[in-house]
Amino acid sequence: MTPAAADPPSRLAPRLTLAGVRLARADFTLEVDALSIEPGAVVGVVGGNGSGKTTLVEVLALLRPPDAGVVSIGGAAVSTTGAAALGWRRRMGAAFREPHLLARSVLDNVALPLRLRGTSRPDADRAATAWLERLDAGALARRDPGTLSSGEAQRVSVARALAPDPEVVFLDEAFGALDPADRHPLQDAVVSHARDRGVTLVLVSHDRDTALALTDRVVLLDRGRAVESGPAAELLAAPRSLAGARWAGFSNLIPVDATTTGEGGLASVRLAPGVELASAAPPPDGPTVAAIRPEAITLFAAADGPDGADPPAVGSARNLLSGRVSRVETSGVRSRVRVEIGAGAAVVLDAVVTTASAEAMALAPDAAVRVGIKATAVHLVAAPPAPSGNPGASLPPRPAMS
Amino acid sequence: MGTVRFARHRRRVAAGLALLAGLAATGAAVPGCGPAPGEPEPIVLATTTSTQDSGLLDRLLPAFTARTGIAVRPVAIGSGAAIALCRRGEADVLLAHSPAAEERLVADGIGCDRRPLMFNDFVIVGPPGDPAGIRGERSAAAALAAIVRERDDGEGGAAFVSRGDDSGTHARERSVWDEAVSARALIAEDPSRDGAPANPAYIRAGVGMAKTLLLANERAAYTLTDRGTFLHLRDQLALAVLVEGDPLLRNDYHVTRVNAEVFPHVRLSGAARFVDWVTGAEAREIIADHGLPRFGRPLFTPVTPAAGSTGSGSPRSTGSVEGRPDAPPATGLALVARAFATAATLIATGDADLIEVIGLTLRVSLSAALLAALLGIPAGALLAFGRFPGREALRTLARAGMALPPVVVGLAIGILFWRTGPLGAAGILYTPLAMVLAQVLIALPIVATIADAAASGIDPGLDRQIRALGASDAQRVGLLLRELRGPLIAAVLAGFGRAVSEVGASLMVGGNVLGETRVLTTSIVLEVGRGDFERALALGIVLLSLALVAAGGAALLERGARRRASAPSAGALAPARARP
Repeated sequence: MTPAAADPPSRLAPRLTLAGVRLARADFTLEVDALSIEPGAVVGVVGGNGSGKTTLVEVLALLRPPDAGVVSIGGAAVSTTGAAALGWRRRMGAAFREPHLLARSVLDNVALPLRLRGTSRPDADRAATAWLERLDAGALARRDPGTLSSGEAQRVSVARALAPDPEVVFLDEAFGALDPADRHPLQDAVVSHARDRGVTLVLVSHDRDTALALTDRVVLLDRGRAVESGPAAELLAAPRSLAGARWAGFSNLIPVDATTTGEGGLASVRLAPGVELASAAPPPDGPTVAAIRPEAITLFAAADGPDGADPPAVGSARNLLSGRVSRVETSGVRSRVRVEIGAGAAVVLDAVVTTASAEAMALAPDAAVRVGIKATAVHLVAAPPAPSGNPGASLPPRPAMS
Repeated sequence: MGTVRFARHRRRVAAGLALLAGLAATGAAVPGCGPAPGEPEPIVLATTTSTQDSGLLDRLLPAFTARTGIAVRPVAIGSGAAIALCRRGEADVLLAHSPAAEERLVADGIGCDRRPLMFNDFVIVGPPGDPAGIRGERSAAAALAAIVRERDDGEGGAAFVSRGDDSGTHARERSVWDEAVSARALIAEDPSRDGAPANPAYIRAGVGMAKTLLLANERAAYTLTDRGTFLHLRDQLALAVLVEGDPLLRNDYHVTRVNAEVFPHVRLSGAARFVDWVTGAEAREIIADHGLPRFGRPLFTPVTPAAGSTGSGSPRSTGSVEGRPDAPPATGLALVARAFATAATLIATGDADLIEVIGLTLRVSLSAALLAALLGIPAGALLAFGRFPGREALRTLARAGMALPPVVVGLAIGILFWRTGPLGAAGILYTPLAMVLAQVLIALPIVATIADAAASGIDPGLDRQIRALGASDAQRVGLLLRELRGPLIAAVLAGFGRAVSEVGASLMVGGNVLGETRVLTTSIVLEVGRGDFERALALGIVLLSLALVAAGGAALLERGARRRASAPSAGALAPARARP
């Protein structure tokens, strides 16, 4: 008898909404003006370390009261204390990166939330056993949690969150200790359960692939603010924020000096004196950052000296710049090439090319190259308002190539 | 992983232990425990407490050292213990007031050169109302008989408090009872010897003179006391001198040297000079003056040499009485071995007194530990999680409280519950309840501090996870307590250990009354005072065994809880087992 077969028909989970929520933490303040999580949705919460993902989960799961604002469940405002909050918490489940198993057997750990809800011991043990087996952890039932590997403990922790058949489930990097190969089937099992049972699932993950493959939409947090929300595919293709661009893999992020309308209705953005790029993206209002994926940059051998003859017309790329290689790092079939452009290396771009091309072109430090970038690959996002007032200051220093 | 991590707590405990070890090492390294070369060797004076308590030694000894350059180390204990020390050769000179025991010491060849030094007198004191009507009675024996007979008739309700500690005063009281032939049987002074039933009007205190007087004061009872101690305490006592002047009540002090032929390490020349000096004119003057300014009469009357010497005058003419005793007492490892044997015998034979003492020890200290846990664990949780002004101050106070001297706790409770104190009406002093109260105060800071450390070590993530599992507040507390059971059991055990091992407060508020408030530690103090080191050590072994049983029980409790927690219910695994 599998749990799925025993499950009653799917229900409608309650809608979770946040309004005007503020919660100050040590290194950021969670600020969510409006967020709604639809019944039965699978929502990814993404963002860098310290962006507030776990704090958002804690607020949604009624585990931490906000300093200000309203948390509503099923349309009614709820506090984190009292019988109503306890009642809602008993319709939710949560597992975090740290499994926090209690000093009792694995089976008793998984049965515990049911026991806390007053389920009889045999029924609780049956549900616990079923969930352990479903997450490929049935053999662990009699083990002491102290003897488990971190990956095993995470399976147990997730089974414990799901065992009481909650209507809303929060998994905060709950499979973080597992290899992708082990993680994916478990995530798939949880998500398919959520889809079958109409469970609202909030998945916190660093993993772009997970967000893309499993979620209906993602909420992107940056230093406590929910800066983007939408289907993962849209966010990956066209981020609107700097944090979104960073998360989506646009690792070349260059502040824009000035934006003008250039030929063919394309925007022309000046990155540095003498370095301008045509962009097909609509320029945002205010301070702007140009975002370019390193994979979208094409390198050409310089026919002549970098300051010599006119650039040859090669292909359709609107932008063709002269530069000089400063570093080459090879990792398998891909090579990351750093190119300095403009007077005094005013602009630095990373390009990812195949190692075969890098070798064929004899790319090495100090080599002169041409950099080709399609106007459609130059993405424009708004620079976030920086505390210091200087939009450029919010850009992180370019990370060293690893 | 995933369970509560106590690493932080463990580090704290380890740091504490290291600190303690360092302190112990420092103490062990204090120099100055041996005489500098060329200086005369110090002598050890075994003496009764009254000479020190009255302040006499503080005047005599510096004068002697100033005169001779010989330092004197006084060991002021009961006469019984002082004589026992001499029998072991651990002292050089004895200053005591138990003539019969001293004569036996000399007869055994261990004591020699015994000389009368001074005397004072014993008096029988009692409530001024004198329910037994003994005021003015000439015969001490008749007075004692009247006290217990009064009670026997069921008319008064007066009681007599005996020192009950084999001290010189106790010995004197015994000889008075021996004279009171008609009453002798009524009191069952020594139940095991007399075979008579215990008389509730006869209270065996088992403490020093001052505490015995305080106990008699609380109970409005009679007692036999040396006049000096009574004079010292008279302002605090509602007791009056009722009988005095019987020759039987004369209290003679003698000095006796320990025979250097029996114990070659005895410092003969220093001891001889001390005996000569203390019976000489300079010391006589000091003795005759001592107490005069404060009490209007001297506390002791010196004996002039002409008044009669019971020993030989010269330290060198002692050969005839000195000789080897028949059976030297056990020392060193042999003493420890015999103590183990005694402990085994006491337990195996089910010694009635011991069973009673153990029973009371467990009742008092387990109650105290339980109460300390009921108060201390919530207090520790409050210190760990509470957000209130003064929390850090309270935490520091609790930590400092671990160093609270039990005797100070006893004193504080005594002051509160003395009949003249603010809570005197409760009438709980010298009852097990007062001891429980004192031990709770002593154990509470330890339990609270360890509980605080344990609770502070809870990972906030664990608490969050427990709430996320749907635990109500009560369930959450239960789950957290269960996660912390190891350190919490240790906390209660530490509280029990401190309660069961303390002696200062129990003596102070319990009074060491046999059958009422005598516990193992106070028994040990009593036996040491009596000089029965073997039995004292045996009782120590019994106490340690109790602690061992408690620690073992706690370990089983914890392991049992974990095994229960780890064992899945039979129902869940039954199908799996049925089809292997």
